Amino acid sequence: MAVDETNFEAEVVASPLPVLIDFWAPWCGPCRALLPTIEALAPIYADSLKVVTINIDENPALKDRFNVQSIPQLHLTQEGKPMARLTSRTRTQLAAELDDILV
Amino acid sequence: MTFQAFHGSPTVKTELLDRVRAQWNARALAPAVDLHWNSADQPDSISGALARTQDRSEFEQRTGIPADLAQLCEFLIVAGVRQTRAPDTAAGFSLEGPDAVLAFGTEWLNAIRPGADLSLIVPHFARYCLALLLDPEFILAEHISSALRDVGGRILSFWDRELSGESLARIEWRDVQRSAMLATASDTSAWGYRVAAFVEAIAWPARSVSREFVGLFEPYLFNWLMYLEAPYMTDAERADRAHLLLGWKAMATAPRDEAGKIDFDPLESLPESSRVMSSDHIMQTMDRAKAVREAARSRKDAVITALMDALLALIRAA
Repeated sequence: MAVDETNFEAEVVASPLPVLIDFWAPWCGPCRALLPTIEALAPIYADSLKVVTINIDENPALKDRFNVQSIPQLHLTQEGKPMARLTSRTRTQLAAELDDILV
Repeated sequence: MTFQAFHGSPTVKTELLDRVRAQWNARALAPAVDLHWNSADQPDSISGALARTQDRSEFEQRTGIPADLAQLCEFLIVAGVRQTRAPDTAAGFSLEGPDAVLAFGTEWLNAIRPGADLSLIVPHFARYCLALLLDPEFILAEHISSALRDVGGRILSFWDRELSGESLARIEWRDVQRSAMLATASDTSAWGYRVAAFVEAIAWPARSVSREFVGLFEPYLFNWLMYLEAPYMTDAERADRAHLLLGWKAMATAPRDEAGKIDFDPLESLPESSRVMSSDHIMQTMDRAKAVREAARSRKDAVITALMDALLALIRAA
């Protein structure tokens, strides 16, 4: 689901589940390439993780809040606070990273 | 979502195909992995023109064809043609490629039976590609480790169970995924890395791989096609190509810092890779690289058309 500055508090900070945030932008090729992977992760972790995307062009305050310098960038958060930054780019590796963190 | 190609109507099929056939035959459409339609920056793609949209959901609603399949068909065309800028033409670009590849632009659409459910075509094509990869006669077979071959065989067996209606537990897949990551991490072959990375990335239920498939298949096919150039190279050029591949692997797998940047030079310990990746070397070998590419052209075309034929057979059978 797409999150923006208006619903960030409700969807991310107030989420009872950890939230994986995919910072992206429409002009970013690697971001578009990663999107299907992120979409495929969501149903696998439906019970333990919420997956959202944030368009940095439309949400500069959130970009600044997470100090996003390059995209795509994946942040795992709990109550809006950073837990980890995921650096893998395939679903297999991302799932392994998430399994280690969420155990 | 349930798919019913062209909403089951031969009339809809004719109307939609008429939209693109004349434009494609006039080479006014540019095949593209993404849907392009009415964009200021990009010429229309075949699928974009077919459904008159850049939106995947709208494409599926208007055509009854999975966007993943359209994406795969256009990708195979992209892999087999050369698109160059031609500002003096109406389209602004020109397309060159073998007749068989260019014909596929509308052939895949013609092959679709109105009413067919095409939702499993990409998973079945993925299965076809994995079986091909595991064939002992596959051209890259000598670069596939026994560990990776074992993992690939397990994925294939899981996919066959899944596609015959059985459901597999997450724990079963998790075990295969771990083995796939180990096989990839221990792979040292220059030519084998992208094969291993592909197998590792597809270690998931076939249906769920559909949306990601083109993005995962692209670097693997690129590696495969590049390998077909090897017989036309000198021994020194083949060694340089191996160094290039090892350099790409080092860049792709280097640990990154919190900002996503590599905080050291991954090529520092690979001086030969560094040499062949330098702009000087690339400039010096450009003409020769082009000659090798052209010499291998017919072999590459044969691979691409064989993949197209396999896909057409699946579409016709649906």
